[in-house]
Amino acid sequence: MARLRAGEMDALREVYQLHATDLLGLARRLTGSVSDAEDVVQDLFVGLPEAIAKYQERGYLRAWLRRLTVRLALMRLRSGRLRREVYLDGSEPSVTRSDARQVHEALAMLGPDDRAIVVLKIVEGYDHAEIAELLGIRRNASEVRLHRALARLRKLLEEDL
Amino acid sequence: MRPEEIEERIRDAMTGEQTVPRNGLWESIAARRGAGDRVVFPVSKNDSILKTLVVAGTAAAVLLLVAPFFKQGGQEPQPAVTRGLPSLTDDEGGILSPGALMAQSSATPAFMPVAPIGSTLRPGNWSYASISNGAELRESFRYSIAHSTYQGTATWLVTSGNPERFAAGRATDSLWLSTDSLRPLYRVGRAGNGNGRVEHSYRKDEVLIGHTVNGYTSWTVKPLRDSTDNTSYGGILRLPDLSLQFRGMALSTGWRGSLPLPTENPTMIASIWLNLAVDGEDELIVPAGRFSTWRLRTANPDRTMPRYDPEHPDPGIYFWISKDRQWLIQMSMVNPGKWRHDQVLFSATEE
Repeated sequence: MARLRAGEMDALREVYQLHATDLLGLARRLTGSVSDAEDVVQDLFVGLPEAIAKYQERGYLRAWLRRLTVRLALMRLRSGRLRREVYLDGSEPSVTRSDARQVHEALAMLGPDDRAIVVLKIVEGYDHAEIAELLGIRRNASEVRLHRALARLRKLLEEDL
Repeated sequence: MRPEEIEERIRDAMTGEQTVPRNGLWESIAARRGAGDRVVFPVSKNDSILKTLVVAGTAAAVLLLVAPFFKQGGQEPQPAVTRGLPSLTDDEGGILSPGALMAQSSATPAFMPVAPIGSTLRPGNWSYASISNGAELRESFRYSIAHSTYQGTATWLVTSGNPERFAAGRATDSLWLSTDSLRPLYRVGRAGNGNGRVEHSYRKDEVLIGHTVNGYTSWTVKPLRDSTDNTSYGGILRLPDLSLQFRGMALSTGWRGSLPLPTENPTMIASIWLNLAVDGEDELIVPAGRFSTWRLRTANPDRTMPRYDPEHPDPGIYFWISKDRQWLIQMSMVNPGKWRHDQVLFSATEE
């Protein structure tokens, strides 16, 4: 940890090799895009030697890295979604879609925070208190928004059948 | 479909995929670190109550001490407290809260689009101040406009940077604009910690973008979504980009207009629209002097972008433009009862 705080590239590389795959998967599930996820992981490791000063070694490094990844992904979702909205012209590919693809497309219809709440709760197993802390919202707001997001997903998936 | 079935479908769709870091991702990280690039991570709003109290206390003291600099009209938005990061821009003039600005924008102009007019520009120097630690008003950013040429054509040259580098003749960002429509022609800016460089060469329908890190330059080409957008700069939104557009606006009571804001995604450079309306008139006293101003507020009559903070109304974004020369005198981002960021004109000279 001291080597990492000192900015040693070898130490940073070791952390990267240990955790990059896991963090990239998490970022991909949150952003829905491999390229966005790579940007998130890249930003995470570029800033890590400075951020590590705030890591107090009271918990698992992996859990702390995952929290940072969630925050960076959320930041990107909130702004990146705007960029996608500018870019997309609304056309949809008309190919037969798999079930997974239907789910991904339905998730993409949610707002960035709602998508994050669904992924963090259903897939990553975070509890509402943790999600509330990560998103800067109240716990009951997390619960209510998950409920509404799942209702919307159900409607989208049923319409798609 | 039962809720458990939906949850199962989501888990199945998400957990079946394995994402492996591509070759070159680590090298990109190492190159950015080597170029001095640094990333400041977002902090959760709930991270520390103590920190919030300390910041709020400091900010209240700052407000008391600098209040004489901000004598304004009776309708000035006044939040109860503010929090850290009082500046709206970084040292390069990049606006620090683009998310809040973008939340107030729209994909299509809500009002009549504003066309930048190059003939309204005059050579000169402008600097802006933010409230630094404690009560000090610190000059934090400077830009100048000068006559120049680019590939044999007369242009405006806009240089900008933090005051120290600027004074040392090392302006950090240079932008050549056509003298008529202010269409960007070429831009070179600083990247990373000064060891990198980014260039934008604007063509009719595309932008050639060069990133130089550790002496190596990689080039990419991105199309412009609409080549008629005069101000389709790539990259971050910067204060001079906005400030120059204000020069051509014929403001009056009831005026409304839409400014194109540059935005860049992985495949193209495009514009979204900042919709503004005259909200009132104020007499402002800032370090650069006393000014009679129009107060503009962002307006979003047909919301197309997600809220900045889903739990609260979007922050109010205000611009004060001088009536005589249409300088940007102050800009503020106000989240009522929560926080406020300000940037004010510190000094100005114009030929």
